[in-house]
Amino acid sequence: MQSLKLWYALFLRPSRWRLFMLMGLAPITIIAMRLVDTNDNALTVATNIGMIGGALGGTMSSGIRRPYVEYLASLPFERAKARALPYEIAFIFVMLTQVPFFLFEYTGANNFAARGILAYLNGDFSRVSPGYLSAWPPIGALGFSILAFFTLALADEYARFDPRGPSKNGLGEKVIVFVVFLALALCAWFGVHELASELFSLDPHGSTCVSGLVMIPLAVPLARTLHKRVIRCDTDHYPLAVSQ
Amino acid sequence: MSNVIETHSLGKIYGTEQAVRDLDWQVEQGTAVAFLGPNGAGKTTTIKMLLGFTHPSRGSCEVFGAEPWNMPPETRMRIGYVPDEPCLPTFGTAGSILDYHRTLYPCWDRKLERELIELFQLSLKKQISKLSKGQARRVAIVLALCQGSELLLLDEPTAGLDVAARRELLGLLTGWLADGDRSLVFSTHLVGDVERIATHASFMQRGRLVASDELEALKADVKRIRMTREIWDRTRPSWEQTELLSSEVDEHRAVLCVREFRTQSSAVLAPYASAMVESTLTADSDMSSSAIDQAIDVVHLSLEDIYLELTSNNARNVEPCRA
Repeated sequence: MQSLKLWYALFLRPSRWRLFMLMGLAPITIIAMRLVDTNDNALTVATNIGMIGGALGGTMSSGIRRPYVEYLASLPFERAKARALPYEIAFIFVMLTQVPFFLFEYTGANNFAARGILAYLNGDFSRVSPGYLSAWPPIGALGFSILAFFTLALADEYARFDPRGPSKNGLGEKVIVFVVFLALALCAWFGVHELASELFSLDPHGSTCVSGLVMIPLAVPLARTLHKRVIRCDTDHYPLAVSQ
Repeated sequence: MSNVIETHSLGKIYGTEQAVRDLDWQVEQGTAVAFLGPNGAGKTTTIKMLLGFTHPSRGSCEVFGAEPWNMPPETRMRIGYVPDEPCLPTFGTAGSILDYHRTLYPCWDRKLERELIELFQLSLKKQISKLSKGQARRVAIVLALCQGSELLLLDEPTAGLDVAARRELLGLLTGWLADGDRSLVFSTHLVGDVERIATHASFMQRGRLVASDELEALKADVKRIRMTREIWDRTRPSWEQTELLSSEVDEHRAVLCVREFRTQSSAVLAPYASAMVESTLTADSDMSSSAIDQAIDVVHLSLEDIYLELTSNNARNVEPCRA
């Protein structure tokens, strides 16, 4: 209950308008892409762009700012609870921003909206896109990796809650983590997509949704595991304290 | 009286810089301790370690018997904290943050909250980001006082407050302290604040605790002593057994600033070194008491002078002394 209060007070409440905007990002991107390209495969690209936006924006706009860390630490919460916060927050935000995307895809509201706009404009926007069919898994993997990267950055902000001390990793190490994540994510995403396509005989559109549903929730726990196992710690040094 | 704060050889290193060194310090329950020292002396770092915001590099500390890094929520509830820079979430209004804190602290004092809101004339509907620094500090103070804390850790609480607000706050803290066995630790550069509310003073310099004692005892113990060069030469070994904070000696006279200790063993309270020197001179020489009085001039220092003596760069590096 206290965690919920904390989320609401510190993160969801201040970010609720940004969150609503981000929830609309994926559908808006889909409509925009449909307007310029009516090919069904292009839709998957659009949804992935929406997904990356959601992942990025959701994580970045989660209301976590450095000064709040000290405020948070002064509240009567268990340290373990506070330590888990960045991951939980990133997870919740990303999931919340993805919900409208999946709803939009499944209900076909995207097509409906795009058709309506096209009818209004009365134009021919049926330019066929060149081979978007296989473009979405890399884009999805990129979104996944960006999400993991920002989750790690958030975890660094909260390093004071880590009993082993704060992280010593700099930007270079984070970039390496990002590249490794990207490589893993590419393989995993292609695998999940193909598997979904084979097992459920889904078209690319359906496979996008399934692989998104599987992969996106995995990003945050994976980032957390990585942070636990890979990040080097320095018990004597904390950049926040030095900056003061 | 039990100790609410205890540190044992506490140290903190940032990179190659030692922010706090071998701090052995105790704060008794029911006392108001002023934490004094120049910028960068290690006051804020010590407070942050006491709150578990940063990990000690060496030694240990305890607040209410608990290690701050893994302090249980029940113990944390007993500590009120006001940082030097307000770090309240800027998106909330003062009212919403008060509402939130009310749900977190079972001992929240609604009556005191109403009184303080009226006293500080807080605008509850204003966002924290739109409040002035002084107003934001007042909100932080209300939060710390109303949560039912038994120990307040205030990092430069009067910085950024106008004269009236400063007086208001000091009066408020005096009232808060009078109500039960509450303890207060506050860092400050303003000696006037210390004389108004503190019962004890602790001085930090370059990460070390150079003095910590009751305020009145400090005032009695730290003296500036002027004497002729002849008397200085004859009594020098005796003076060097005191805590010699600074000395200026030329061919005619010597000016010392010393912190004298009454050695207390069993029920016997030994006299100050200055009195012992005087009696030695009377016994060993043909100087009369009036001649000695003329030759040795003892002046008690103001707290501001004591602060400067204890924390100036000329001050002798002394080991942590009695608390």
